[in-house]
Amino acid sequence: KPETAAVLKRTVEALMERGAIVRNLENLGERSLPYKISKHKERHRRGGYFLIDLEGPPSIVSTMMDHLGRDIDVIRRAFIKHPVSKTEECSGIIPVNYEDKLIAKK
Amino acid sequence: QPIQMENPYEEPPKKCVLCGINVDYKNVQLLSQFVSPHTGCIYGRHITGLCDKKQKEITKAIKRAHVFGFMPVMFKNPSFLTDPKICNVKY
Repeated sequence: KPETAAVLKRTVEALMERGAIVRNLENLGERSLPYKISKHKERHRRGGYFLIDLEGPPSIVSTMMDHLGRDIDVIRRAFIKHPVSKTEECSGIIPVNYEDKLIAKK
Repeated sequence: QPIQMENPYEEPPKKCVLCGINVDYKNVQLLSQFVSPHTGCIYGRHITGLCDKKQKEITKAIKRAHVFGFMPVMFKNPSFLTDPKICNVKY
């Protein structure tokens, strides 16, 4: 457990160094991976999942991927855009008239 | 003379199973319900019966979950095998 804490501390410090603002850090639990991942000359079966909420310049991404790739304790790294959830406007399935579409294209 | 008005008996448009539910790459259980238990391949639109948007979102989320190491690729997670059936699959 102190190792995971050290890894997190390292990554967060590296992020802050490049000028990113860390909003939130979530632990998604430690479970056995869905498939065995071989990374850094080792076959891993269990891993801890962590989610870091970030705000920063997009130029960080490539440097951070490099940095995390060199870290032995990090198995898989990824950056995603912050998901903006908006599903309240979902209207139902509107029946599409395929005949009209075909004729219009011709 | 008949008055022009919109159909008063019109039913609201049919909603798909996920209309209103936010799709996330993290909830593996929801994503596994649209995956075959034998091969792990994603079901098409004619099997799941979802709208365009939701189908696209689900495929993107499943692919993401595969890459990030949340969901197994070649099969379905065994703990989710007893989930209720959503898609009309004929085995």
